Amino acid sequence: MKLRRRETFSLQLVTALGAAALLFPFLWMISASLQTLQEVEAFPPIWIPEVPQWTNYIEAVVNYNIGRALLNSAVVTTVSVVGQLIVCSLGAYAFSRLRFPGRDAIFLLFLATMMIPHYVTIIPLYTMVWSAGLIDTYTALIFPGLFSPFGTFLLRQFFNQIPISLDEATLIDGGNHWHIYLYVIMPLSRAGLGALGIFSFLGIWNTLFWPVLVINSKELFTLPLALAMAQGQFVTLIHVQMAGSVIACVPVIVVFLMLQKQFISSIALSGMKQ
Amino acid sequence: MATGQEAQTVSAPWSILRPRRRRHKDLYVALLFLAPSLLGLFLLQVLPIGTALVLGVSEWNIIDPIKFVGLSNFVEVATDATFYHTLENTLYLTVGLEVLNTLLGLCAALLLKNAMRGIDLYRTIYFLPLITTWAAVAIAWRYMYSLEGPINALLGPLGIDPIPWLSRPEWAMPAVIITITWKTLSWKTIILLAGLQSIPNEFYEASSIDGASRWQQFWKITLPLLSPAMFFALIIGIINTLQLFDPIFIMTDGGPADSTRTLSYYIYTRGFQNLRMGYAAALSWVLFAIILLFTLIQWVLQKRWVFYQ
Repeated sequence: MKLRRRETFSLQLVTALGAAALLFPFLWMISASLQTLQEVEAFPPIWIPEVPQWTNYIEAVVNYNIGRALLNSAVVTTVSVVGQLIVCSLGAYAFSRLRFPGRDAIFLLFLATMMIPHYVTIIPLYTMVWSAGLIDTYTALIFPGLFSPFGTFLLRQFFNQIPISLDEATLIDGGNHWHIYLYVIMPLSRAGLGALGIFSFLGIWNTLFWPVLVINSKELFTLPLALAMAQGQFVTLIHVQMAGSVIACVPVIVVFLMLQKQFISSIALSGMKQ
Repeated sequence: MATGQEAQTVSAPWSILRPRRRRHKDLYVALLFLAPSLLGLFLLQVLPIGTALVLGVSEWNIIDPIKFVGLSNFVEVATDATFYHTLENTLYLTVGLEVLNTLLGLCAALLLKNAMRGIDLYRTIYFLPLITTWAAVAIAWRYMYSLEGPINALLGPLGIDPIPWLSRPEWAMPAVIITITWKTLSWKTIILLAGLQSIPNEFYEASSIDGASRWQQFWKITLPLLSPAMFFALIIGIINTLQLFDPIFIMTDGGPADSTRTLSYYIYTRGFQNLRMGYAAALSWVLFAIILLFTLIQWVLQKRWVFYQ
């Protein structure tokens, strides 16, 4: 469609206004994180701090546990995402490439569990973790992220698109299924692995509910939990809390800027969750 | 393990003549590949779902021994006034959010579809809220909503008196809906944008030649061809909304006066604040039933408005 000039201008204007509205909370967050306590409590609000208070960030990291939480989140997310990619790709390989009795029935079971809401399983999961004495451990934070029926399903769809003749070629060359998985399927599924990786990275980095349930001690707080708890504890120190919020958002935004195309296709593809 | 010789027969036309036990040939390899997934499926899905069934008919505060109580949890749900109140809140949130998200998401998708100057930057900005951490942005929104905060300061010049956003029952839910719209809008946009981009340009060109106006094109071409994407986004959007936790936990904790306590947040309240695991499990099954019902109704109704090419 060819647009007339005036239309192009008004489209630009509306798009820019929308962008400004969506950006506003971020701008306020950054501005507040650089203000003094007096400035952040002033009315009417001060939009731009007189002298940027970079020490708020140091205070958030050192005194309000954000540094440790950042480390915990990094460890938990990395281990979970890598683990999930390995577990799901192995399972997906079996469903896509191997023949064994009950294959379709088991796969159907995987799909069926995807329909059960998180809230049904999270209560029993909590009681299991509690009975096993795993409350307040890294294990409790990590193990639910290691497996995902959805991830298995997504990768199987990708694997099914890879021509079976490549498998046969590998077998003729004397390879076995392990070789096919490692040297044929995995390298050819980078897009699928990337989509699942991004999807689970976002989910695990941002998750709050599960850590709220299984973590009590400050040393094991993940970033979202540390922010939520700081809100209750240091309710008046808005500027320091905002510094913590900015720190939590930066890693996801950096990864997003680097992998924007893959991010969007992974969201469009997976369609699940927010 | 398969040998090279076996492999050659994999796709051979005479393979149907092979003995039936061939179907088992990969069993041991499959067990190796599937072992971690099966363990995960058992520990994270099958066992918890089974336990949830047992908990649903039990009374348990984690500390004392578990007690079987039959269907009394479900009877209690049926007569629980707070449950009905949370159901109303859930409906309010879901409808409000879906209407706002669909309208604004459609607008955003129609805007971002155009090849204009700086479109990459605009897309980045529009998608930013979606990926950031709920906990971080919800805290920011909480302060933005304060009586002397930036939102009321912006509304002031428009002649609007300061609104007690999160401190009054009648304002808390609209505030929560606005925040969640800001955060999840671009999810809708991504799905609808993908839908828009799959509509062939020839349709627009052909109808232009026939003298159709922009407005007619929107109603006769864009909307019908976009309806499958809208249907998909509606179903998944509702399922997601029914399970929201983070923004309510951070911004309102279900208050004031239970005005933002949704069914899913009520499950958390009963289970983890009042330690009534059995009752919370029963509520979670009710949530499951509602999700199933919603999806089924949508599935039936889609024949009326979803247009598949």
